[in-house]
Amino acid sequence: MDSNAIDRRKFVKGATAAGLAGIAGCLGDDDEGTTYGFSTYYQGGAWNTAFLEAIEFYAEDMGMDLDEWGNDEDQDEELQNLQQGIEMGVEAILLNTWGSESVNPAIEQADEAGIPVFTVNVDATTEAVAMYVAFSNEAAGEMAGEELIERARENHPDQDNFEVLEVFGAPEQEISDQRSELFVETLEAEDGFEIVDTVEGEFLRDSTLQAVEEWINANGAPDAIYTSQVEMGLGAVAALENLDLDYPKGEDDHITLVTLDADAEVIEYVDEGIIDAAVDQPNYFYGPIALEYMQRYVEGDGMDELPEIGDTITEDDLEIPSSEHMGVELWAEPIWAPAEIIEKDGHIHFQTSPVLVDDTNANEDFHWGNIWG
Amino acid sequence: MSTSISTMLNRTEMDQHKAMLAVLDHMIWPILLVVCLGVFLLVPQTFGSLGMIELVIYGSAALGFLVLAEGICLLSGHFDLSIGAIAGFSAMFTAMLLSPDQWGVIQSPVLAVVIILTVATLIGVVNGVMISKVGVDPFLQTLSFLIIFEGAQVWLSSVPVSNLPDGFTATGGSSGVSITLMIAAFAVMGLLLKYTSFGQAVYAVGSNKDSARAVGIKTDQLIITVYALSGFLSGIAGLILLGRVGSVSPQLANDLLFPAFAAAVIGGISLFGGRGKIAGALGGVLLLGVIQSALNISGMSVNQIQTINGIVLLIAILLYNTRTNIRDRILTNEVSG
Repeated sequence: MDSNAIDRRKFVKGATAAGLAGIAGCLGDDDEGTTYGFSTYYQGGAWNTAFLEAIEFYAEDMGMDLDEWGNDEDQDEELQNLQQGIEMGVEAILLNTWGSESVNPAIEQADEAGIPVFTVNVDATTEAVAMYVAFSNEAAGEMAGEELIERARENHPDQDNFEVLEVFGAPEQEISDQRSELFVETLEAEDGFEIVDTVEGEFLRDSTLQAVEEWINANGAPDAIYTSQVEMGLGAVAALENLDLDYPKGEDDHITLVTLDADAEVIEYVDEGIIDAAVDQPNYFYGPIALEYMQRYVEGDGMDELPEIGDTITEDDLEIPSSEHMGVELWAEPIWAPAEIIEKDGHIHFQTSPVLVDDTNANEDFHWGNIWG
Repeated sequence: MSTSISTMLNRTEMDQHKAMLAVLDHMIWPILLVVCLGVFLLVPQTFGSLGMIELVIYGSAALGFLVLAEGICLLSGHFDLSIGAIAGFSAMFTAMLLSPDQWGVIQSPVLAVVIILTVATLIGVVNGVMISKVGVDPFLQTLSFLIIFEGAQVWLSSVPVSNLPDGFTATGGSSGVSITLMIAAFAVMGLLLKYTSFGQAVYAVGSNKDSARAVGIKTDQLIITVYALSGFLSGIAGLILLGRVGSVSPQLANDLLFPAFAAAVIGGISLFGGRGKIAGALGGVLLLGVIQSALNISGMSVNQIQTINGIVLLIAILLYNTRTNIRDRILTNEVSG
């Protein structure tokens, strides 16, 4: 996920979340039909806007009654929201987890009360989760490694050895390791590729700019750069621009650049050939996929409705009906497919495919960066 | 005869004390020298070329202005936790006005520079009024503004605002301009504090507000001026930061508050007000910049960098404590002698 910006709605919804939950609690008994709870945080900028609005659009399209609870990026508040939801007697809970460990008691409490909890985007670590929907940061890192190798060889076919600079997130955030680990392994397994250094970008554009610029000044230009998040990718581009090293693809001195995440700005640089490829998430599918299975769970035979570990789910197995939102036919292109069903922390992980953004598809409507840009 | 010998001895002792105090007041410079030597030996690329040295200072320019902003508040015996938020918010607000992708209501880069500095100064004025006139605790007042303006910055735009005209980004986009501005600002502020009645009043209020009031210093007015100046300097920091990256992110300057405190204190400005030199704070800025650059390019694992950074800061703080203790001992001896 993009962890570096906060959605503006945070301040409205976050501040009123507890009150809304309380009011909803008082009114809950009078409501008719199935009520689902949705607990979320609002940090994440345009990325999160796309992710959250897609959930709201889909729930509305499907006529689902979704109570949304903001947690103000606070673990206690998240816990309390879930416990209130259980008291209110919602049928199921969709959870964009803030505290992956701290929220576990509430999920277990919900499970005991017969309320399934589906995690989405960020998982919790208890086996009481019914199903988790998201891509895999590790797999994205691996894909980025493979793309970097392929693009670097394409860009410089006569070259045998490639020096790669890795821009790492922040050591205190688990996602940094997740997005680095398989990237590093992939490159280490490839002859002729060496990660010559790893600098810290702190998920910030200015920190990455400074770190990359200093590194290149001290050591000379690398053959390729990998950044594991959108703002760091743009920081690396800014450093190359400052050093007059922003040669587009096709030029002899082009530095291969692969990043994770693709907002509108990244897509523009991909289109210009400064960034070779971006590995992105089908974020606007996460919620609808989870809601679809949640509805099947509630209205059907519970856990039997969910895919089994080891399955591969394709677009033929699961249809998310497209509908017009944000000026496009949203969900028309099943960029999430295929999905692998694996086990994670004792529960099902519906692991979607990552999405590759390169010069062949940069202008397509199915990238969230182009829709919500 | 014995009296004059005794007087001479006392005078020599006093001179030694004065020399000692002067050394202690400027201790950041030998520390910086030692650190630079260490970096030169261990990570020589840090100073591998003039371009590298320029980059270290350029990368510290925005922090330099925030240190000045924090430094003047500390000298007056106050805190300002909102400097980073002021820098970020004023930059974001102005970028929204200027960017054709956003509100796009102004076109003139010069007007935009005026606006960013005005907005930042006005926020500083409100801080000052709340603290001096309304009597709100400086910590709580500036903490609330930190939260409000960090939030408002994101509220204005949750995505980076780019497509800003060159004229607006030119100040921070040029290393020469940024570095010159920073050095000039430190020089002007140093002279202002040392040679003007305003400067003397800042130190007086920082040492003892009641005594300062008793000798006729208009403390309320002074505190408002200090916070206005702090806001103004924070605005320049925002201008430099946005020019450096060519856009304004919702997090711009959010992470610079603690480095600004650290640089000011390491540079010898007292956390309790009334003591310290602005030039020393510049030393603190350069020290942090050199350490950060050396760690960035050292090839050290990113997992170790933060720890090393913390250890270096701890050493600097211990040196600061030692210096304070020695200073207190000397002053106590002088009084009892």
